Amino acid sequence: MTKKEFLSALSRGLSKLPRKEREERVNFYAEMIDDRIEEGMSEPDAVASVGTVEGTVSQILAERPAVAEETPQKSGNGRVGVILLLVLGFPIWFPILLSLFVTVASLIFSLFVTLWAVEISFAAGAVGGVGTFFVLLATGQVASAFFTLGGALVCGGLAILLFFGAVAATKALWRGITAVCRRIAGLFKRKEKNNV
Amino acid sequence: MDIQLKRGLLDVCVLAAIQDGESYGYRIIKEMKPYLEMSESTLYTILKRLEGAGMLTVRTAEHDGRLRKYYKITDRGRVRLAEFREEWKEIMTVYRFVVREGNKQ
Repeated sequence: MTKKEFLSALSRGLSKLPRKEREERVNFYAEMIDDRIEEGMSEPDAVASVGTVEGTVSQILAERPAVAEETPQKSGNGRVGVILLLVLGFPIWFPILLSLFVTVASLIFSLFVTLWAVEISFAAGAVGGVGTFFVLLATGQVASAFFTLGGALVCGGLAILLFFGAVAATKALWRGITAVCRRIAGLFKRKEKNNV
Repeated sequence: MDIQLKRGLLDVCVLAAIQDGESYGYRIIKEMKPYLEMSESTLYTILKRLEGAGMLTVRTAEHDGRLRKYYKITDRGRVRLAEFREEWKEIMTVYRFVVREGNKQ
């Protein structure tokens, strides 16, 4: 009997098994036969030393329940339990999670809006102040004009300073958001790996 | 032999066959042959069981233009072997007692 004949007969004999397990078992026998051939046995001898197809099939089927009860079945049931709990607990955990998320997001958002609003108002104050300076100068109110110019320059300085601060804060927030997203994505990837 | 005892022994034998380094299915069978005859399907069952228990890891690598699976013992597997050696000392003590009683009759 050739290796090919043995393996296809074995696959037919194990047709009751799930496809993945059947393929894995057939590959295991293919490796066993190949290793014997590599050692110097002829192909028919290598096949014969593994055993008959009928004997192999009946032994596999007889030994299989013992494997099934001890391999990851249990963790499979555990996973089903976790999923069930998640589904049943959805009305409780989802609103809590959502409100927590919305609170944190709105807090961050309002902080940012405030920061940039202050920055823009300083800049506007500087521009407006310089404009007012020229108007006052043109109307002859020299003292008021220079007072306004001073105020505009202070606003401008603060705007420039705050601009760097605001940019740095925005960058930091962006980095924070991407890091959190990556961590969440990583969580799912790890779960996928565990599933394999 | 008691089936549970035999199962435990076979597990330990396979762990012992890979304790000095990675090995593959046929080599494990060959190395065990002088001590214990094991069929391919039994070995497959045990390897699966040990993998499920985290006592060994499996990797597939190309060998001579085909794929071969290599099995490597984990720390948990080594702990099991150490436990077995301790357990066996106790069993041998009991064995000596049983044999002594048997000789008297």
